[in-house]
Amino acid sequence: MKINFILGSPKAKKSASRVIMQYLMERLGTDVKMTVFNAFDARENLSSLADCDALVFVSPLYLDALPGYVLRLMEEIEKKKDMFSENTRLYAVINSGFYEAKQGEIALEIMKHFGDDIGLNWGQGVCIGAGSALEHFPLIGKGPLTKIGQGLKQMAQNIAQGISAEDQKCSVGFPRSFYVSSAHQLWKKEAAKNGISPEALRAQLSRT
Amino acid sequence: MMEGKMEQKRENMAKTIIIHDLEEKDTGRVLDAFGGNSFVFLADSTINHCIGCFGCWLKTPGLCTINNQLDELLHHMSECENFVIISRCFYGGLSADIKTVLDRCIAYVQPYFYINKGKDEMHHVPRYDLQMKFYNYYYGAKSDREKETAKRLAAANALNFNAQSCETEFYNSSEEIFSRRGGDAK
Repeated sequence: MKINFILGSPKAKKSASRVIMQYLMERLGTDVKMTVFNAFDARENLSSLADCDALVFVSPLYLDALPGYVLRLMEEIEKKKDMFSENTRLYAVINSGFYEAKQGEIALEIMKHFGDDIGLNWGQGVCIGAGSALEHFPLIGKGPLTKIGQGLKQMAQNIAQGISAEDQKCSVGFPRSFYVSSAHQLWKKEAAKNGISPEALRAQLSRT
Repeated sequence: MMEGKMEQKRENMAKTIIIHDLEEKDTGRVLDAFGGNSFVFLADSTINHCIGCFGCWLKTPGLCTINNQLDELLHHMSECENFVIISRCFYGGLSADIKTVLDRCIAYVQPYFYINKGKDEMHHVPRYDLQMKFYNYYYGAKSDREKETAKRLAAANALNFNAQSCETEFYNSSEEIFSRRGGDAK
């Protein structure tokens, strides 16, 4: 079985999307050929991208949808919609920085319309909430990230078996209030490195 | 004297912003269709994509750090009353060109979060008090299902940008936008 991943994060190295993708890849079994494309390179390698039994998008959520550069890839794929063979499945993991996994629903709808139009069979969609936690907790499948780990493990099995399953929404095990206050602390810490005070983060552009 | 100069510059801020993904030659027609004190921004492939650096929040609050492409737009956004998007309806979402621009407009809101009680969701605290009216003009939707998704997305982005209202219209083609709107001014 050939599985192609499209990594939708713009970050060169560490990202929550990369953590998710690697977790899936480690659970696909041994009799699988996996190839990773980033959303930029894939545009230049569409024929290689199409050579698969399953296409798996792993993308951050940007403004309730896919990032612009992921859409650019999808626009290129749309122009060659017959390039996938019949029975190719489409899977998508949408990773939201907001706590609520449901905020990824619209992005999944867009992916489904896309898949329908270009002739891919919908495999499964997983929306992850509080995905930023994946950049700070290195292990997933344990502790507060247990549900996320379980959802992704099941998705990996579905991909490996070539089956479709119901979409899932998975979030972290700690309260939203903790996530919000942790995020705010992180913003302030990062801003301080740039000489920006907590109050200055609220600054409005001047009228001049 | 200084007060007079500030008044003059404040008047240069556009009341209406229109972001479109048509062609450069259409900018004049867009202005004619919407009229008034408008700032038109062409979203095309020359606009660099968001790199997820959070610089617009944590380094240069309110402005994208990548380059100057969005500076003028973000300044106008800080005072605009009407925010208009003209976009191809791409599978129920915005086109890549439009979305690439919008991705870099999150500087319009603060990094801090609040809980929206109505939706029971985290969202970003507004940076500005002025709440824009949000208008989405989609063209080329392939199905009613896509239109439903597009309406949901428009409403979601209205919330993301703290808009006071959201209107969404669908056209079969971009040409139809011009023929139906004619010289109507916003």
